[in-house]
Amino acid sequence: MNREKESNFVSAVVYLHDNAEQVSPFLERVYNELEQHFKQFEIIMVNDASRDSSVEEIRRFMSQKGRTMPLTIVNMSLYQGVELCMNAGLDLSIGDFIFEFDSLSLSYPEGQIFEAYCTALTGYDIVSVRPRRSRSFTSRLFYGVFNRFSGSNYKIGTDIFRVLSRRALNRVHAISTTPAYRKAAYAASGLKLYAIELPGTAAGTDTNQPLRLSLAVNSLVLYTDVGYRVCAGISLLMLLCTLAELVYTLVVFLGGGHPIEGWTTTMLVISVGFFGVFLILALVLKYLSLVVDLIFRQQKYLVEGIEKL
Amino acid sequence: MNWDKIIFGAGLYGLYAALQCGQRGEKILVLERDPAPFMRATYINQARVHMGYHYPRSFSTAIKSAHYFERFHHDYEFCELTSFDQIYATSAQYSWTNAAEFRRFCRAAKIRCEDLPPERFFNPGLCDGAYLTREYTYDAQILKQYFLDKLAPLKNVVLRCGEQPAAIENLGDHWQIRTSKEALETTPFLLNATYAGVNDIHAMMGFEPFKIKYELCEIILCTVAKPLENIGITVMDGPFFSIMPFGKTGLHSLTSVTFTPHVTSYDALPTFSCQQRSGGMCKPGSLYNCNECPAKPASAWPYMSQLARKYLREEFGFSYQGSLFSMKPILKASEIDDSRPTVVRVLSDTPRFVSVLSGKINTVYDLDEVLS
Repeated sequence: MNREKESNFVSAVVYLHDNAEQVSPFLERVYNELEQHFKQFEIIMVNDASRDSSVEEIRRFMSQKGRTMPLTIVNMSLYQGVELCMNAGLDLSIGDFIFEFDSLSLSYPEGQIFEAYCTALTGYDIVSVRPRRSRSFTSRLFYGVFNRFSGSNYKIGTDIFRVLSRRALNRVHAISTTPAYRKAAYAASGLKLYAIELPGTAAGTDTNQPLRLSLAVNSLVLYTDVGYRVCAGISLLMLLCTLAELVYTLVVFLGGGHPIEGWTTTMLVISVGFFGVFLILALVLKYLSLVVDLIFRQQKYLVEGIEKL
Repeated sequence: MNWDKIIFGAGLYGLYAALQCGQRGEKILVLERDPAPFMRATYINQARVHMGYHYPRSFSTAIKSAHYFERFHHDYEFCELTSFDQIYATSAQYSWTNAAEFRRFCRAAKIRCEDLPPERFFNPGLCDGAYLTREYTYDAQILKQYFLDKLAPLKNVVLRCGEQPAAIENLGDHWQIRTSKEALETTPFLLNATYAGVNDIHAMMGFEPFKIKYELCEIILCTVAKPLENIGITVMDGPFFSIMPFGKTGLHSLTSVTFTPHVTSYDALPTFSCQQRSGGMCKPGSLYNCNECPAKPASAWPYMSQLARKYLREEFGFSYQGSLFSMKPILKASEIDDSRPTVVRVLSDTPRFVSVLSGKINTVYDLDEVLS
């Protein structure tokens, strides 16, 4: 194959945490594919405080290859999880297009990397490659809830890797400098996205469970209105309940019923009091959601592109 | 022949010393291994007349720079380009300094620092501060001509290019130097102003080498789009870049911390794999001019330009014009605090032998104390 190499500069940002045995096959695949298709590229390995020989494996690979392209290793000070690490790698990358590899998984056919890039060139700022089915029930539940409430046309899922344009990265940075959850930030960026779905189920990658849970909660709060809607719903429901209770008490009182001594006054105090509390709670929630909006979303509106006819 | 002083190296430091002493009537010989003066580091660098902005982690270097800046500007204004806006910016990520700290530093060092909106120059989120500063760039060719013109009428100063020391012997109160052209010269005062070659001379004379890291550096020259014409931009202080006017040439120099150094050597006498491809012209103990070398590396333009484009807004365009290569010695002690002290070391009293090593043009006045 003797086709012209792409002149766009691409960066591959790779997350690494105790994956020593996967390093070599992964680099082999990515290196070959990038070298075959691109004039210039760089690989950035973000080492999330690996305790095994992951970094030595990278060095060994590079010395075998004979250094022709820059490979950068970003060593994190302590374990910080995939999101922060990938942000660190993205900040360092200089490519026009950036490949994000959240894991060293090779569960996609050869050539898929370049194909994803080509798809991006057809007009998508973000292209993700993912299996058709998520690996676990909890993931599916999370993505289900997220996609239902995110308000974006684009559905997120368990990506194996993705490609994004520099433009997309700039956009996401303009919205918030260090996105808490990249996938969600991309989905909420208002740019054109595309998901290439591969047959099969995602291979399980081990991520830290507590970290995942808090990430899931944070992203639901930040990128969807599910939290607000649930809370507001509950407080409105309680508000209605106390209102009903108030009405019932009044009916009993005026209707000349004879409950136990003091029941009426107690009930009046309780229902009026709780009515007030839930009313205030509903208002506070509204304010809180506004505050989150104001702080977190620095840009008022999102434009996908401008077309002149 | 006997001389009052012999100076190795016709860079700025060598010619400055020659002029100072020559004007006092001393008999001076300058030996330069290249065919002309100013062919290496004096010419091949960012051409920055340092004000001190570069050293937010080394206050003493900053203060000293600011002081020397005024003096250099006063003495050599004719070779400076002053009519451009020098913008310093602090990168939001990966920088060793930040906007607030840089402001505080400038205030303490009493150097100009006016806030500008970073979005005016940079893509969103990449820089957290941008400042209009006062800094100039000098034109090495004009400076060279000035020194040559000043030295020409002085019959007591001789500049011999294409000639270097081959052997140096201590005769008790004199140094005897046999040159590569088999001339024998003697002097009671020897000044080593060879910059990257400083340890080569030490090795020849049996003195302990300076602890130096050597980097083969590339300065890229660019033509720039209109919006960038009268602007210099420096993003610091970390893996970043600088694009600024290159003297009065009308071109900009582009450099970056990560891609400007091509190869590095920590040896006392620097050893590089490219020396084997130099056709015998360059070897450990005798560094050839990297810019003239047949084995100079391929340009890092794709990487440097990519890095700069990532930061700069699209209208600040620039395109490749050429590359200059030169060897840069960095004192090892200065890596952590990023200081660039000028080292003037007297290695022998009688006969006198002084070595100077400085990475900055405007600290040339540090030489005065040893020349008198």
